[in-house]
Amino acid sequence: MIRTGLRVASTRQPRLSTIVLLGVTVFAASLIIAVPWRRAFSIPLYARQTGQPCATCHTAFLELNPFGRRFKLGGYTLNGGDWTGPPFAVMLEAPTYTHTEAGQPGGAAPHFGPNNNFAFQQASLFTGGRFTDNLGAFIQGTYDGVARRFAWDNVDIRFAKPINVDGHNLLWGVTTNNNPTVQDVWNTIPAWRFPFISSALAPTPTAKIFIEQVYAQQVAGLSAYGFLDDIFYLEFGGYRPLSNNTQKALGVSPTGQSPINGVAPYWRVAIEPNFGDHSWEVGTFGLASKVFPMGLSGAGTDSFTDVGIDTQYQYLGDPHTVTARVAWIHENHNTSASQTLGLADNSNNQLRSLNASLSYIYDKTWSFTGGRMSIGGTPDATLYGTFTGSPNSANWISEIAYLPFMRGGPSFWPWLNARIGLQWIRWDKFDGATTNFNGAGRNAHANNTIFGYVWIAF
Amino acid sequence: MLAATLKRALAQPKISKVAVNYQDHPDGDKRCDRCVQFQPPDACKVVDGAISPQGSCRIFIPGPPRT
Repeated sequence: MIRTGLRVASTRQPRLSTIVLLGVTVFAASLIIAVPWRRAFSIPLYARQTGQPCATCHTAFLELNPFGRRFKLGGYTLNGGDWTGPPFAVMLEAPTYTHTEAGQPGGAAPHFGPNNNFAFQQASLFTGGRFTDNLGAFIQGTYDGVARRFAWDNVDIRFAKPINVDGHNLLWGVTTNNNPTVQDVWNTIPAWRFPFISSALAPTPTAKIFIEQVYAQQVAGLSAYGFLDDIFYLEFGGYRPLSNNTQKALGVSPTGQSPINGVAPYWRVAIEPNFGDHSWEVGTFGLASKVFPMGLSGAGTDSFTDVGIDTQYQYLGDPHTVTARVAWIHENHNTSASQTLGLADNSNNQLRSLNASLSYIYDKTWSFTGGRMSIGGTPDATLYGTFTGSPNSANWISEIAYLPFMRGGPSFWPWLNARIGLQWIRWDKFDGATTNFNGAGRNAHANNTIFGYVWIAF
Repeated sequence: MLAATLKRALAQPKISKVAVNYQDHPDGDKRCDRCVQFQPPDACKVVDGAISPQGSCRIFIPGPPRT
């Protein structure tokens, strides 16, 4: 749904807040640069467990490198550190600042103004790590500072074990999680792709492909996987919906959901050859299901099949790192039940999404990324609720980020990691149009966004 | 029969050499026997397999001198 605040355009261009933000960012960066460094073996949770700095697993957090991917596939169980304290970590997305080219009348969200909003966007508590030699977890609970509520967030609990099969190394495992693609290890898939952080106060397109986080925290999944000879990855599993009461108990509102009917199969196939400083992945993934549109069962079920293809290349030199990522997803959506219920015009719709990005990281400290996102498909005004009837949107995203602690935090706080970034989003098309996409004269460019953030973990 | 072919390896998954670009020669001053993760005589806390003291890899972390 489009927030009603988008219906009327504003032409306010307050530049003072932008200048203030830049000043605060520069001041914070200056403080960080000024403090003495200490090599840390005890950055959040996994760093404390493994004795490794963040840069061992990440090119620039949260993007994984080959080591990080194998740490995850190995069930988060790798040891090496001497930490004996409790397995917790904290992550904050604060402060953040969101400026759109034109304000969002009525407010960007309840309790926020039309434009130039500072926010304490998110606070998360993590636990998990290594339970046994073969059992580990990633467990996140989050306070949403925009919606002002606490809920469970991404959860991935897995068992993993390496074996030898006729001379071939096989790392096999089982994962149970609550978000399709959250268990994946490449940064092309919806749960972990660029942009790694987004403003919760900026406009987003109405149309969304099901596998693109629609079922996050609403389902429970179980899948088995194998990673053969450090190259071939295969995973198959399924997801079932959580009951409304369970979701409510976990802080999730089930209102407006289209729950899965039965089990939704999920699959993932990928190959990742590594040669020297180069790592290249090519793969496919997908999710299919029958769903009750808006939770209504009177007309039967809709069904959808999402099929994605992706590739990721990483150059892991020192001090230069480059990552290129591309994912394309096609969705076939049978909306016959929705049509019967008056929730769709067509009995069948298609959506396609493209997410491509290129990052250059210097000395594991400065990250520069450019990306392209687009979604498009068949028009259906009732299903998407857009003024144009079209689901088409497209933008360009660029981001600069400073990560001062990838090799360890400052001496007074050795477990600190931080990403301080400035992101710019330019919309070419929004909800089906370049101009007047909402019938009230608002143009796609009005949603252009500048997003500044401080993202820290400890 | 399949069970007979399955042979348990290490209890705890470690990281493969290829994932850290392990080489059996030093990379400048970076040598495994100068890394905090090295376990004499020929192992690593986090990387799988036999490790040469003169080897090197992408995740080298300098440690205190070994006597």
